[in-house]
Amino acid sequence: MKRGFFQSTTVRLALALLLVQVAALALGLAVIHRFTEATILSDARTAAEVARDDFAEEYRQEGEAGLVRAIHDRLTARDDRNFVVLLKGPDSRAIAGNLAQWPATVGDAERWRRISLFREGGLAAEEMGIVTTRLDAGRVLLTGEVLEAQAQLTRASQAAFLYALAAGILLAAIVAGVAAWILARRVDAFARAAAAIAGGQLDARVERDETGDAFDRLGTSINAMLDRIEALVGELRMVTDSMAHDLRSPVSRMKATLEQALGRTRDPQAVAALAGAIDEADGLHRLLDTALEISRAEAGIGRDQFARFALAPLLEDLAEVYGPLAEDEGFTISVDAPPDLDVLAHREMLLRALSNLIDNALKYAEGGSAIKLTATWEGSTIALAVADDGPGIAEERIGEAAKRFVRLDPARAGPGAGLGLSLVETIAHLHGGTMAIGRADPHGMVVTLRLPIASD
Amino acid sequence: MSQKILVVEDDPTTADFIVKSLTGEGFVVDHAPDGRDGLFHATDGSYDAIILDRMLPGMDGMAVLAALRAAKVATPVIILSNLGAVDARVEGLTSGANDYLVKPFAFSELLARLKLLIAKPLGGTQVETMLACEDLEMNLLSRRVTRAGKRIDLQPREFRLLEYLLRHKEQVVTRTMMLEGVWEYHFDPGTNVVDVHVSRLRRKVDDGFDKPLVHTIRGAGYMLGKTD
Repeated sequence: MKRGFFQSTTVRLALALLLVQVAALALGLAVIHRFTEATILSDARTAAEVARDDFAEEYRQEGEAGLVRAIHDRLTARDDRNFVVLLKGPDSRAIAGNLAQWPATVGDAERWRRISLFREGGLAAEEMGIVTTRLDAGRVLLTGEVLEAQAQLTRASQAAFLYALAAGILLAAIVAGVAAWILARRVDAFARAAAAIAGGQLDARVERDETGDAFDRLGTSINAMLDRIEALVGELRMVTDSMAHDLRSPVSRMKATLEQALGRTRDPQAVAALAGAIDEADGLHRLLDTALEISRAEAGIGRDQFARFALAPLLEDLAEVYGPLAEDEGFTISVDAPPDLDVLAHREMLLRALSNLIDNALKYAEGGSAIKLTATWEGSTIALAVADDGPGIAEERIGEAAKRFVRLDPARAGPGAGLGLSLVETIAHLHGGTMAIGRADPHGMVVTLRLPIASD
Repeated sequence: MSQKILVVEDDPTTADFIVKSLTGEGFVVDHAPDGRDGLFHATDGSYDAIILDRMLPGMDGMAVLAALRAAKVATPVIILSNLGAVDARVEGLTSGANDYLVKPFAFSELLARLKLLIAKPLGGTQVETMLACEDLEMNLLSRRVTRAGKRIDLQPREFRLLEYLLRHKEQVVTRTMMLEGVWEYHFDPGTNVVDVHVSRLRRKVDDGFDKPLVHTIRGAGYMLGKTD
């Protein structure tokens, strides 16, 4: 949760899902509420109308006294405690009934009206549905039903909604969580493949689950794309490889011809020119060899030649081999390695990598005077470092340094053509390790090879 | 008497190049285009050295080598291979070859190695205790080096380098050969590492003497010995 919990796509998705679920729930409850309410109201209306008709009939037959008696009978019968009735005289006075008083806003011929009124002795206004009808001589009759069931329904609906909301939130959270988890898991398959590709493992692919869903189809497309990329890279590599390989023959023949020519002349100018050309041919030959060497190491060739040996003597030996050359260039080479540090590696390849690094230091550590070869344990890896005390490398150029044919200083056209660090990195990869370029303290460049301590 | 070399190589361009160049150097050269033919020629044992391609139609170069060694033919063999790199080289040397070259190679390299092989007394003779070239002497037991009776102090590695040169005196040794022989580095570091070592050795061996013994052979390498 680095950049805001709510910015996370999965969390947003879960929230959206939750909202939709709660909305659906509310809608469902509202519909049920509505239909139930309609039924309840229709029942109440029927009851009110029937009572009105009954009382009107009573009035027609028995007059006011009969009606009043009938109202009393009905109210004392207690068979319907929600029943409300009120008979109003011509002087607007209540004659009989169980309402406190005639409501001012109610007319004489209400067909069906919902209103909140006090019953006689009632403590609170009650919601009720009423009808009114005019009798003769200014009398008006009101009948109705307190909508208790409706109030209950509303309360029940509210409670139900709250319970359902709580349960819904819980469920939605679970569903959203599961959905997000499933999504993340599927997306992780893509992320893993992409990371592996970025790490140079070009044959990595998105794991398919054969469901044929959108993710699976996306995976198929991405894998097809990766196949194509891998094929193209392979072709490119093959082309450069065979070019390097095919170029070696003409270069060798050129060198042989130059050598023969050198043997046939005594002219010092011609000798110098031929010797120069031979040196160039040698340089070209070495470059092609290095390019091929990188390809071979990238292909993992040489892993069967791994052997266990002590690092300290190897480094001492290198320091000794390069000592005189370094001295001529104004450097001293020092070694710092524990005597009991072994490594399982391809000896020649490792030597080659370290030679390249020493070479680089001699070439580029301008104004420096010390090259340090160190080997140390770093947890489960062995760190082999070649450090100089030259000007070092600018931070922003570090990533560029290991690229093939990249020269950090284009003005210096020494031999090597910029394949050096690239080969070193490939050799590190061959050993299942890494190469890191950094800045030495207080100045200078340090290249560190980290190789895993392999168990035999 | 000119020396006889057998070239077993199926690629006509390479074969032609080797045969012509070797003939130009005064060798008598026979060419066999495949493994069977090569083995047939080689078993009569009349050659001074065999240059054997590793990849051959019919019979693989390594199989030819194995058959030769099984038949007790001890003719020195240089394997030529496309496989390159260190691994194949080491494998070639452990399976009975005397030397190993990765194709394509510089002819000077092949020539130097070939001459070295032919000159090498095969089948270990008595243990040498003294090596010498002109007035330069090396006692392998006391590890003492003198020139015209004057003691020369050498670092251990300089001693090994000089020993290598003395063992191959009057022969051209390439930088690659020295890297392999003295440092056991089967790759070319690409810088003038070897040259610096040789130039230091040269200062100790030749400075103050009229006749230089360490010679640079342009385009090939070095040679210890008297100049013509």
